[in-house]
Amino acid sequence: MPSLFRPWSVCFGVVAGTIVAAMMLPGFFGLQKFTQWGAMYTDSWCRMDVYSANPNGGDDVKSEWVQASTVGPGAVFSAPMHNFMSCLMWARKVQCGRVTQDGWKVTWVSPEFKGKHFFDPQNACDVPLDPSAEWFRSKLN
Amino acid sequence: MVPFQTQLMPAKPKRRLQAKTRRLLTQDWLWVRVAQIFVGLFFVAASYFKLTDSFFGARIVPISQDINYWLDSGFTLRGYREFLKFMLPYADFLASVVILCQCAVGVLLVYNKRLRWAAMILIFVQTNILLSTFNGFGFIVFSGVAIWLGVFYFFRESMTPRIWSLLTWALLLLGFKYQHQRYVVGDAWMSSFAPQYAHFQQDVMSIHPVLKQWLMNFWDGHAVLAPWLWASSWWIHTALLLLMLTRFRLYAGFGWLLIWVHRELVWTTGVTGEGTLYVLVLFTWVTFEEYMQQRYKPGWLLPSRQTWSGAWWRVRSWLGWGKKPSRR
Repeated sequence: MPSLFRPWSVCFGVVAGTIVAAMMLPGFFGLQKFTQWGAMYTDSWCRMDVYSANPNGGDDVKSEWVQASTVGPGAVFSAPMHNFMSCLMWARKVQCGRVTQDGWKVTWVSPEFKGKHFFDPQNACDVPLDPSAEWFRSKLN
Repeated sequence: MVPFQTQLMPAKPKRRLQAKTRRLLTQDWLWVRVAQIFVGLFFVAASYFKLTDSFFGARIVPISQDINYWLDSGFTLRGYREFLKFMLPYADFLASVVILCQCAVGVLLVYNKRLRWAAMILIFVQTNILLSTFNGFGFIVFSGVAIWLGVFYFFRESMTPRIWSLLTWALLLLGFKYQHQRYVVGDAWMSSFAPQYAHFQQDVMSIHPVLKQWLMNFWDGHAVLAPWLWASSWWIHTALLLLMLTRFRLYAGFGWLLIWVHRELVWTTGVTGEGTLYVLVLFTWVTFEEYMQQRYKPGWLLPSRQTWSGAWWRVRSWLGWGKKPSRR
């Protein structure tokens, strides 16, 4: 007799609940709200302009354009998805203080999410370190 | 004939709804339908996402840029290149067609209407995407599972054990192809742990910061065990695929599904929406396999002796060497 409470139903129910909570509506359940449900081609959602100094301060400022998750050796999984907070934290933790291939140090970062420089005119490197900054550890510079 | 009471005293709407709900919850196809609704909602969301990404709001990467990238990278199958180049000026039209088709597929699947139409549209769209990206790393498996879904929904209402076996074989081949890709990048060996872990630390976000922090603390505190665990996951994954050939395939498939759910929770920004689609495909497979196993006793996935014998007699008959003797 088919029943909702047979063992496989319990297993499928747990998986279905996980799909709803973690993939379909993660923000509703207090989890990280990335666009996982039906989304593709998102490599360029989080990118940033990095500078050697305040870009509004003078002419002798070196700059570079960086796309999130493209620093370091080739990765098996790509990591293109971001939200505002993870983009800001990635900028703060991975970019600030990085020495570029041209030999200058990144001290000012302007992150861009979905085509908008959402943190201007502030410097992402001035974001105070809080526990969430531990999300990303800079290892591949 | 309709019962007398039903004609004169129809049940109250509330009771009717309760009865309908009870009937729905006790059906053996309940989870097959739940998986179908998930898949439908995924394609509705995919079309909405493409609508905003290609036309409104955050239009960062127009579809023409994607197509150019596929062409420049040599992803497109040779015979399909000229067609894609010809269609490049009409990229927005192409994007509109894809959006409309995916939305239609999603709606039809959610409402469980015209499944064969939905399946054919899905196969058409995804086959074109497959041809456009055929040589790209990882695209075959991703487009492949979407086409698999299309073929599955085409046959779902008239499924036979033989078609289901073939569909299981097709899914297994995609699974082995994926494992091969992971083998090429070194997942099977402990040496790949260090760069993968560094990548995880720097770039990847889990479904919650606490989960990621806990994992990093665990791996930092178990420096010897961690590479073993990392490498063993590839072998366990492969072993489960092999186990799918046996009569224990439902358990193996469920294990395969759990691996992908785990990846989705831990490597959330790494596996992206593709990981979600893998989870949905495997959820569809295990729910339908369980539905089939309620009717048919599971055996080896290889063709049975009877099937081989039947095929041999069909060939003999076609060659005119005689017909299979009928049983009495």
